[in-house]
Amino acid sequence: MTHHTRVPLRLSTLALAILSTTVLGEGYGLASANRDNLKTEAWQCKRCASNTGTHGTIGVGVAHNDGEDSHFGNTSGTDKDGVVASLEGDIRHRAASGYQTHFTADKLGYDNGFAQLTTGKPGQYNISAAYRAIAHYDTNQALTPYHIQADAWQLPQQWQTGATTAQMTDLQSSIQPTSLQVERDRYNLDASYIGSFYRAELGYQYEQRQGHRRASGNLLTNSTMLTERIDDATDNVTAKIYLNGTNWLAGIETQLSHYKNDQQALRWQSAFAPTFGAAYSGQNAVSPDNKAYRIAGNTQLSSGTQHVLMHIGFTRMTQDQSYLPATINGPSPVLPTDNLAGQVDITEMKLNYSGRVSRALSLRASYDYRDRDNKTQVDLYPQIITDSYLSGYAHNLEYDRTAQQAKLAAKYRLNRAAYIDIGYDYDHNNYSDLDRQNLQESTLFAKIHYRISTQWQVWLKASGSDRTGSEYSPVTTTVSPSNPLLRKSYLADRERQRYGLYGSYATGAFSASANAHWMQDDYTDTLIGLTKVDTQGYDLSAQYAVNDNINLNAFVNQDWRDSDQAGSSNFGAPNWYATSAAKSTLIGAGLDYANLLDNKLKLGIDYTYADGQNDTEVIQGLRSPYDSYYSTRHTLNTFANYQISDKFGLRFDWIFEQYQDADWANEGLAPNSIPNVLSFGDLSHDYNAHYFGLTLSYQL
Amino acid sequence: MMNMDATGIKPLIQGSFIAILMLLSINAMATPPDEQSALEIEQILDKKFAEGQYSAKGADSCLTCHRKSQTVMALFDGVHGSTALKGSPMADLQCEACHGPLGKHNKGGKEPMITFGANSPVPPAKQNSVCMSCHNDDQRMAWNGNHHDTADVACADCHKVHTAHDPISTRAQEVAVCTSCHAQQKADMHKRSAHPMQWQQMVCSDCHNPHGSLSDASLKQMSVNDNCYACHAEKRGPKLWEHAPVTDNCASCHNPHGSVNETMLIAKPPQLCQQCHASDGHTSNAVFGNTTNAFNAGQSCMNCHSQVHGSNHPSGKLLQR
Repeated sequence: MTHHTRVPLRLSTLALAILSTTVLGEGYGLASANRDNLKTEAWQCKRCASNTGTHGTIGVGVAHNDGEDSHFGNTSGTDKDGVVASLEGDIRHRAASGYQTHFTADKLGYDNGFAQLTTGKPGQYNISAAYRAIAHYDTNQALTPYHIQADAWQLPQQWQTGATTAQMTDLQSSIQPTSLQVERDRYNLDASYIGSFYRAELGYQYEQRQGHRRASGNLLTNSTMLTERIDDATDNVTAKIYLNGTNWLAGIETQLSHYKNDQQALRWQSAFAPTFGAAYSGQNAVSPDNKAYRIAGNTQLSSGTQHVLMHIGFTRMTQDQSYLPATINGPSPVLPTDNLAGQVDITEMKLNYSGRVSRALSLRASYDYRDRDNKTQVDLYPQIITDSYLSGYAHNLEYDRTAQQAKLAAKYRLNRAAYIDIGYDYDHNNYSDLDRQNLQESTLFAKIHYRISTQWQVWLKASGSDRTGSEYSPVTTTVSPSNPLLRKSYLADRERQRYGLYGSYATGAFSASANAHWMQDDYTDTLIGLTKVDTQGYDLSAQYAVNDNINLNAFVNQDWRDSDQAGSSNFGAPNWYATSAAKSTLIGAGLDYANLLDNKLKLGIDYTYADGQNDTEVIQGLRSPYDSYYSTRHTLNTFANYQISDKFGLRFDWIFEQYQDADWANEGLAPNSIPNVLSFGDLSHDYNAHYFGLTLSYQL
Repeated sequence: MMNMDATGIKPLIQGSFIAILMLLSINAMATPPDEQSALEIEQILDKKFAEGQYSAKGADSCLTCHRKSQTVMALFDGVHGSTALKGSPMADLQCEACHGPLGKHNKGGKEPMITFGANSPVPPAKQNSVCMSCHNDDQRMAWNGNHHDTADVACADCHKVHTAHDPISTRAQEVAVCTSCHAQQKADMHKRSAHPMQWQQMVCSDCHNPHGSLSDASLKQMSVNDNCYACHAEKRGPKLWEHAPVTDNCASCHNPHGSVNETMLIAKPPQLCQQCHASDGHTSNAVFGNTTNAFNAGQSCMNCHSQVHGSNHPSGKLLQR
């Protein structure tokens, strides 16, 4: 071991000798323990308990789920309408040798089920296998006349095309509700081994996604909403090894990732009569297969209260999927290559220092370098606009970015109860092929934290940022030039102020906290584009343990985000304005009641109310408010856990949700409401749904 | 209350900042009386730790009095109480590995021992020094100076050792613990669109390392986009036609914790798109809300420019293919 540690130790001593002018032996770390007087001959641990054996519970559940609107599945974990079964468990086996096995499962059988088996000797080696499902349900009421056939979305045979959606005479008889949902299944296999001076880890993850999502395909000025099939998988292999000594830690991490998409394209038959030519169908690209690998090294050097962390990393992302033809209507022009030689290299470096220079003062400093170098081959590609006509040829762009960040901060303790934390961040970015060559942002922040008493504490923080950059010069690589007064929001000059306030009170059984935050973004040089964003909110929460058996909690949160932007319909000075006012309210309350009915019954009730809205108005002489955009949700989540006997328990779950939302983009819309867009119709939700579950558990 | 008028609340929020600032300026330098005794306790503990007067019988000495406490005895259900595991405190200095040398504590129990948690007189940094003396590994190498360390968060504020299973390692508990301080994120995850954290299909530690990382916001990967690619590898590309802000920063358009807008967007299209697009053509027009049309309804701008995350179609420069 000493052989391995000698050289890095010398390095650490050298580095930290420079930094640690005052080394303080702070803390009670085991390495600093004074063992001079330690005598362990009589340390027999006779009174120590030895909790070995197999313990835990295993349960089987059966539930009734209301799946009429699949959106409720985001809450209940399944979109199945009717009875659904599940398995759950939490079993732990401990041997006297220290060997442990732990199995845990929750809602296994649902679309958000989870299971994990871990075995090994903690602190020495560990092997783990895990499964986890994640599902997202958008809607089961998207109306479409399309069906899949030979990997393409086709219309019914009798379909009559129309110049507008109103002229599609077969639409009403052909539309069917379809589901939009994405389900993920993730499998993990991990192993770790801890040696006397090293730790090694190996991990493999396979993740599969299946489902359908909203997409659109267009031909010239006609558009069709389509359900894009998702059927892809990602393999991920990670390996790392870390060596450690008394005052240092160093390691290498590697990662290989491979994304494979079973879908090659999104192809559809046009529902519209061709405006000209013979564009009867269209084809979109889907996400191409890609690969990425990464290698990184980290080194930590410590001495007492001084810590230095160094990082260097390299990532290469590649993609060489065969191209689709430039058009599927008529002969496709010759492409410069069969596939993209896509390659992006990311190089990053970081140096991080943190240390206490006196009892009261701590310092933090870091430098961060990150370079994105797009090495993709540049070629000239024919642009067949929406599979319809050749508009010319265009070069692909290689967006590069080099980001550098420097941070300096100091925390000064005024006394045991109060500290001030102040800092300065500088962020510098160089870009290629964008409207600005570089962008810099300086941020100053300060926080004061004060523990008024053991019950009360409060903090206030404030920060101010100023973002500016090189001359704003609109790119010339676009087909249509940008209004010269436009400042793209992510590249624009911006002054940001941000304030946060927190207060809490805790005493014995009762605790409460209050938070308030306010942020203002002022885009100082923008006439066209986003000009102002104002965000603020507060929250209050409280918990009260009435006695050993009853716990109460309640919370409320409100926040607002108001933004202003301007545009010009005559390619000149601003002549229209848009405002967006987003508001959110969250209110919740809960009760836990344990040890009822002779210590056999436990009850829990949680209620949450979540409401959000976003009101948009466009003003050009006249005010034009948009229709409503909101979501309102009441959720009641209750359980009753009854211990039937020493071994058997029964849990009853009831979830009730009342949910309603609206989006002016589709509220009240029929698929043919817009002449040149064949839409999914109204995608609003409005439902009351129940989930009733019964779980029988057995205690091992 | 549910339709509380924002104009009434907002000045209150701003006014409260000024009021608290004034309060802090008056009180910040005063040390509360009960903190004096905490300082004395800390000094005693420092002295005891330096002297190293460990007990004669190890854990047996402690359990003479403390074995009636269920909390104390629950230590033996977990790894920290295992004498068989190498590296476990019970295999080394036993109770005194974490609670410090016994000293004269057993003479009536008045002499303090090192304790943990929010009510402990021991400063968080010193509490954490005990845990970190064993747990300094690659997952925690960026602890020093990270957000939680700077904010005086103690390990015991989130973790429990005297148990078979640390509650925070259960997914439902994890989100509850994090959001007890990160209240805005709690509100966000209940909004119309959010990553599925409300029902713990995802948890905070899927994206963040609470023990600190080399990235902003303690993200597990080195950048926002790298973090997103960990689950959304299809967005990684590189694609032939990139949408510059997409490859730059996903958070330019999305709030990953949740939003009142669909798909976690920070604003609604078409206005979101028009914050960067005002070319000589249709993107410069005011899109009114009085009638539905191809610009404001359906997928808005994405009715035609559906490949907003980039396209690998040869004819996809305008992100229409």
